[in-house]
Amino acid sequence: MRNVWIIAARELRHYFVSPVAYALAFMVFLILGGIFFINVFFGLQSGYVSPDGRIVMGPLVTILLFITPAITMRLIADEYRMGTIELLLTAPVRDWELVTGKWLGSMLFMLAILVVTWAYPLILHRMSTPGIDQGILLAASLGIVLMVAAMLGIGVMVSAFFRSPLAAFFVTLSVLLVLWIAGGLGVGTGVASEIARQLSFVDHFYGSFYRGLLSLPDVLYYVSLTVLALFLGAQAVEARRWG
Amino acid sequence: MNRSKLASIAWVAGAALLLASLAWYVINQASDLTLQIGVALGFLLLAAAVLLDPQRLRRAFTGRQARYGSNALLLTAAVVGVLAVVNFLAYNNPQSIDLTETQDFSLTPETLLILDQLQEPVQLIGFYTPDSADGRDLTRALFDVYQRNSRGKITYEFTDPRANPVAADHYGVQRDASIVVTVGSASEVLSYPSEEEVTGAILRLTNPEGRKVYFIVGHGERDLDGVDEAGYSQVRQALEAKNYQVDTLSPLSEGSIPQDALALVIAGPSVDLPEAEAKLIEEYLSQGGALVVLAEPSAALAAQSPVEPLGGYLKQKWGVEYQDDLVLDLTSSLPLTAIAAEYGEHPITTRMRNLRSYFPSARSLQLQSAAESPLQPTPLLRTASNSWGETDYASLTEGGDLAFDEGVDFPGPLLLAAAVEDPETGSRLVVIGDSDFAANADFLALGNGDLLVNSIDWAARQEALISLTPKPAISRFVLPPSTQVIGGVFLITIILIPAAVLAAGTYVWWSRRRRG
Repeated sequence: MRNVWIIAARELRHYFVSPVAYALAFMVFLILGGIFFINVFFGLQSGYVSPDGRIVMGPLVTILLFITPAITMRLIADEYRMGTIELLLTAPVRDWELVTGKWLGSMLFMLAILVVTWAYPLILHRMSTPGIDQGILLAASLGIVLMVAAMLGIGVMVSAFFRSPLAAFFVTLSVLLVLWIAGGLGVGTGVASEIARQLSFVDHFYGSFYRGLLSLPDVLYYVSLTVLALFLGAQAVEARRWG
Repeated sequence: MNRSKLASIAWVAGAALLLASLAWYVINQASDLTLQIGVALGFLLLAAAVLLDPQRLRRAFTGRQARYGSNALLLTAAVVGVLAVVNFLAYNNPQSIDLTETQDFSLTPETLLILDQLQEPVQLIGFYTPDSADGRDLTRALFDVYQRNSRGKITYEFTDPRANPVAADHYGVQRDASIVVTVGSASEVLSYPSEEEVTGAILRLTNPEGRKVYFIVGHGERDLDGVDEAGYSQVRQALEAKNYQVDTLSPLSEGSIPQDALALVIAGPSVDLPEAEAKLIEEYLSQGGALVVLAEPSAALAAQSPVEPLGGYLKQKWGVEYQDDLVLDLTSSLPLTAIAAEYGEHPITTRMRNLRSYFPSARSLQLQSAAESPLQPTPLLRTASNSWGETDYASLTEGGDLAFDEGVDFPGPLLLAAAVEDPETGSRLVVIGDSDFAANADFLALGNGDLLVNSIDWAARQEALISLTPKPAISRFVLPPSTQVIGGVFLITIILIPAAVLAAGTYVWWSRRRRG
């Protein structure tokens, strides 16, 4: 477990000295801030603003779809490219510790970004009486954290398969997009449709967390996806040893 | 070209051919000759590849890579299996915590008590087409709460009425986004997925009693079995789907009103009810009965008598007066079709959830409420202000210009429907100035059918057998902020937060550059 922390801390430090990470964070805050301000400002002019913390949660989810692949693309792919993976593989670190550490590092970085996004709902909270529904805000935030965990897990896994960060970026994005639209196949009422609906990445969020409901199946969905992705990532790293 | 190279080509070509065959099948959805040839050739190529270079296959199955690979495959299968089982178990026992401040996803104590006393299994079925997937998600959340709190007594499923019309017909589902509650062989169709409706239906179905509604006949009323545009067969279907027993009644030939009548409906008589019948109805109402009257304007009727016996009684006893007019509404594209622009606060109309309704050729009503009268009258719906009650029918048929004549016509907004309750006897009355709105041609349009069914529900006292504890409703609003506040929000969200990140990033980049 100590190895996980060491790798995570190293990755986290890496993010905070990387201009790319700052550029990504800048973009997130600029877009979210713009959406928030425009919604509130023009809402006030037309006479109605819904005092709802989800004002930025919806757009944030879509932004995350594009941000997370960029956050995770170089995590393991870069080690292959630079040849540093040899050092890691010969060090007394297990494959799963390596993958989990990388994932945890990116998770901590994303949490830092997510904490700042609470500013928008809290501003709205101050502006309204008797305030926004904090329960919904809490549930939606928890949902986003779980969702991000799964997305980063998938990113780390894909990064373990590629030598080129750019390839990792696009493949991660494709995997996420496929999961995103999987629910679209579940329009029918049969068993296959039900399974497609259960695989949908966003429905587990919008169907419960986003409404203020903390439901066990949805929590398990994201946790399972994260575990599965990290497991497959570790397998991919191990496969490098055979070659 | 050596054999190994040929084998590689055969492997690729065989796999490609099989994939192409699969694509062919996906597109054509049928197994035809082309597909069979494709599949056969694909397998032949793969077989040829194996024969051309048997060593490769042996290596693939016995090499070091293969050993690790099959280990990894088994391990992956195990992990996927465990995760799938865990998720499946959770899917079947959906536990959840409601974090909303207003407890949007929790049931009231009354419902919980009823669910606690449930003896028979109850099944909830949602009839949703893919077009109303959003509504289906909300209903699923509601069904989940019921299922979770029912100790396994309640199960639910969703079905598509378009894909499964037999089931829809069986339960009498007439439109998309309906829910059906079934207990044993009895079932009831609901149009709104709310706790009040579902709990009410469960209560009614688990305490079965005859729910009889009689439609008065013999005066040219709407035909309950008429499937033409003017018929009322949809009304019958909707009421029977709600577990009512619908029957016709001619009070004069029967000599009395049956004891089991929960409500009487008079749907658009074309001639007046004779005095003797009006008396029978009067007597029935004074004993706590319920009456729903759909009155056509006299312009649409054969006989004209402004003070028919029943109308006179309704005016004197209940304070509901027919106005002798024909409503013209300029908000409507057809001026003779009045549109309900405003709904009153009443169980009949609040259940309609703002669904509009419209009334082809309607007459308006006047509601008088005496100060000392114990009656509780409620105006149900009104037209918009640019409507009026035309009294000069001749000008309509002659094709003259439609205009409001001051002092002659009744000015809008006009009352189209009213509900009155007598708290002393418990009798209830609903009067609507039209009967076309619920005929087959318009029954399923907007809220038209709901209006009549809700009216009968209310009159028959079936709308709320139980009153649920109202959930705390919190009205939230954003206070109009001062210029300073808007400026501050702008500064923080658009400038400060992004700029802080940008500054930190620039500093990092600059200090790294300096260090080289």
